Amino acid sequence: MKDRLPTIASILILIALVIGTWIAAEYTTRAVELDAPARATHDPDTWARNVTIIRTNETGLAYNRLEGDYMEHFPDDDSYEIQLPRAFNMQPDSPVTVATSNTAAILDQGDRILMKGDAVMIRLGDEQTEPLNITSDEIHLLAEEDVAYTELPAVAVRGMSRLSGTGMHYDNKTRELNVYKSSDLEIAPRMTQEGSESE
Amino acid sequence: QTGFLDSATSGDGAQEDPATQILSDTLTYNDTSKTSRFTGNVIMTRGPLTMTADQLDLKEDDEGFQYGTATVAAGKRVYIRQENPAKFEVLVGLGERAEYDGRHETFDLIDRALLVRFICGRPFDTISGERVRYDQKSDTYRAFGGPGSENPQGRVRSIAQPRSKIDAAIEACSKLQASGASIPEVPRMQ
Repeated sequence: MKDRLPTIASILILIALVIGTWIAAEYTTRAVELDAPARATHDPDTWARNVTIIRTNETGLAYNRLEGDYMEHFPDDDSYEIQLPRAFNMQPDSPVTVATSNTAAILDQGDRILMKGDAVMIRLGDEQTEPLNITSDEIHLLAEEDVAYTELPAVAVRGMSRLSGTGMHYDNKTRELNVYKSSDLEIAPRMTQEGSESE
Repeated sequence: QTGFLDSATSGDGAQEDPATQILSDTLTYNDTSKTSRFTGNVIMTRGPLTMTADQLDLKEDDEGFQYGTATVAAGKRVYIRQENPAKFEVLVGLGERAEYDGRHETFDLIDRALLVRFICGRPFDTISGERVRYDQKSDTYRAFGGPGSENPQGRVRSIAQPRSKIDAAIEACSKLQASGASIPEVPRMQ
């Protein structure tokens, strides 16, 4: 038993050394913040004035242009807040849409632009079709899908007709407008035949 | 000049068209095909004419004229009402389906079609068949027989009161109105 004593003692010393090193390492990593955690509060970490953000598709074609007078980035949710935004969507084979509002938030890694406060979206007209104008307190823009929608009361005006309802969804690719609740369409009368010729 | 759906005159210099208002639970409008589908408690008002249905499909042609088809759930009928306050007259029409032609301004009531003319709240003329066509411009109506008629052998059935009776009813109503009493309301038909 006596001759085994040194072996056992050295093993114990080794174990103690390993545990001690592990504790020291743990303490060190906890004491020094290697990568400071993202700020929990919603404070901007970046801001810019007179910004223009352009998104292009895989072929390099610009399909969305967002301008604003003042922009802030918030690291806690990786979102942007823009003052007096102007959003242009120019998908190929679709008419251009222009949206404005008091402020805008860029969400979902830029896939969704939430236009807030007197939001207006205009789909430009062409020879056959009148422009379409949708107004609401908030309008969500999905740049890639070329879609605009709101869950709030909204009014759409096209030519002399006026459509109001709660919850609207406009797909600029299929040119389909859906109203989800309390649809109220007012089709203005046309003038008399002479009246319309004199225009 | 076009709109979502423009109501158009028939091109004979007629005066201004009435505005058309359509209320419904939901609406789907396609700008390319210029078609609209209104679903759920659909109420269409066009001047003195009102129509209620469960679904209304409207299509606009290149000249801006609208063509609509109104349908209802099984067991119900599309309801149309046209008022003529000057004659204390209300026309009520029912049919399992209604078709509206904006160019000719006609309404066709189809299948179990019935049209009743009320004067002073009382029914006077009645016409029924498979299809009843009401012409808004000329204020005339025609009926056609067929298997969709409720009458025996699918025939057309028409009851017309003499002119004198109608004039008497109008006279009575104007006295009623002059005395400040309210005009009797037309019973709701289904």
